[in-house]
Amino acid sequence: MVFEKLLRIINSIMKKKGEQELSAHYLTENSSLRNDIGFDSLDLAELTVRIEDEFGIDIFEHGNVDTISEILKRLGENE
Amino acid sequence: MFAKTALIYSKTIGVDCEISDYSIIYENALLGRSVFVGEHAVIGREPRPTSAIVREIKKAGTTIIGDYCSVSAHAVIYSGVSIGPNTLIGDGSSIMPEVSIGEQVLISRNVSINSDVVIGSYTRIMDNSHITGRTRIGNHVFISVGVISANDNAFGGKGFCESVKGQIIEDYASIGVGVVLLPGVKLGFGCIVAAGSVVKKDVDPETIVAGNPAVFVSRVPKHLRRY
Repeated sequence: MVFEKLLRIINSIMKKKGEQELSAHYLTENSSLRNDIGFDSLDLAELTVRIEDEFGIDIFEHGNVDTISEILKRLGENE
Repeated sequence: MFAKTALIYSKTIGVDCEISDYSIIYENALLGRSVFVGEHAVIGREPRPTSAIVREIKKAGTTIIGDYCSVSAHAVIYSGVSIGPNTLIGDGSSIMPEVSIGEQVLISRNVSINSDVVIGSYTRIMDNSHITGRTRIGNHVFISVGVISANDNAFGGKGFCESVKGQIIEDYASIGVGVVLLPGVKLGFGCIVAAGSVVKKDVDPETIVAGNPAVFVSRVPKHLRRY
């Protein structure tokens, strides 16, 4: 459920950038936000704010995150 | 320690100042204690306008350099400038009359600051940026390299009239590399302007803007706040 919500947030940012939305098959837990999805610092800022609005958690509060699994861990999904 | 080739006309030089070769300290300059003046720096220079200058140039009075400041090589600080303690003026920077700078400010290399500008404390303005006249900059502002600001939409066609307006940049605003700030815009508290943006309208506090024209991207997330 959390993964689907996260995918929806990522895709809303992709759409805003005019880029193709990602399927659940493409996005794996090892996908890197920067290297695989192509997010820059502005995209990451927007992602952080949207995740905080959705889940009430600041994923960067305890340091950088880069992969989907790291985000899920911060959201308590992979503990 | 005063270098032999320095020309020091001022009678008001604080204790423990170091004044390097070929610098000039005019009589209207007041240096606090432990001020460093680099080679070829000029402090207290009176402007010498010609008819090419559209604004009225008044005699601007004393220039005050606070305690423990560094004025680096080739910097030129005109008359009527006030600089708070522990501030660094980088190599080749130029500061025109009627400018007030707070304490512990970094003005990096080749920064040009026009007349009637106020800069708060702990602010950092990086290399090759230009601060236009009639600008107000708050505390803890960060202005990256190559930021350019303008204050006249009429390109000088109406003289130095009331419509000539610089920017208002509130505390903790962060401005990225190569941003262009158009006349009269206000940048709100804690906002971030992404690199390369052209800011044509006001930026709300604690928001990120990007692009040409700069548009809203997001609120500023906690990890990017400096306060």
